[in-house]
Amino acid sequence: MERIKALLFGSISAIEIHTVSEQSGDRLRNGLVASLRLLGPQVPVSIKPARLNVEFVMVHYRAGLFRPAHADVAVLG
Amino acid sequence: MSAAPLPHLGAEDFAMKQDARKNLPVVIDGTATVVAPLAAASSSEEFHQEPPIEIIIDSRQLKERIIDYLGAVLARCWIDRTLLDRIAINPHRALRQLGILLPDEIDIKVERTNTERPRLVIYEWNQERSYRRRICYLQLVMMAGK
Repeated sequence: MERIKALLFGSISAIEIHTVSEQSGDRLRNGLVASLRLLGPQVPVSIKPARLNVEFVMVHYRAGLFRPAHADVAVLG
Repeated sequence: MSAAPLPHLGAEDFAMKQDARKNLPVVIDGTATVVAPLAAASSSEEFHQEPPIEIIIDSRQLKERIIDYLGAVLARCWIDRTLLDRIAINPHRALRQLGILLPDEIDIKVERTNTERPRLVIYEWNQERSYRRRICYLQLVMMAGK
């Protein structure tokens, strides 16, 4: 079912955490990896330095048949 | 017939203008004030107002880098609400003000499915600028807690 859904609407290809401090990025990554392990899929989670004075998480999606490649951006507060 | 000094010019300025009309070299003393043309002054001020270019997105490394930078721009829109409007009006100009120089072949459109989840859609023009290809889009989802 998950594979059909991924084929039709795309699936998560990568997660990037853009933070100012590496420590807070690490904490967030550990939480994310633990949650993803419970759900099943293996997704690479990376930490990058924040730009433009804003911290955010970006989730990259592969293209599906009905949905183009895209990324979701969530601002960290 | 001798020309009368113009009211807005001093006697020295007037004499200099007279000499210039004769196509003779003009001696300018150190105290003379030189007024730059107004248009040149305003364009110079405008130039100095631009922040330095910190990021140049090259079209060869476009796919790898543009999403990273535009992700930061989109996240910044959450904090600076006017930024999204500025990108909608003139994306190249708005990003230039953030220190990001986009290549000409890249176009960015702002789409608002609703007011809470704006999207930045990235297009790439072909060489003749007759057709633009949609590369991908970035969507601002929400504010997440750390």
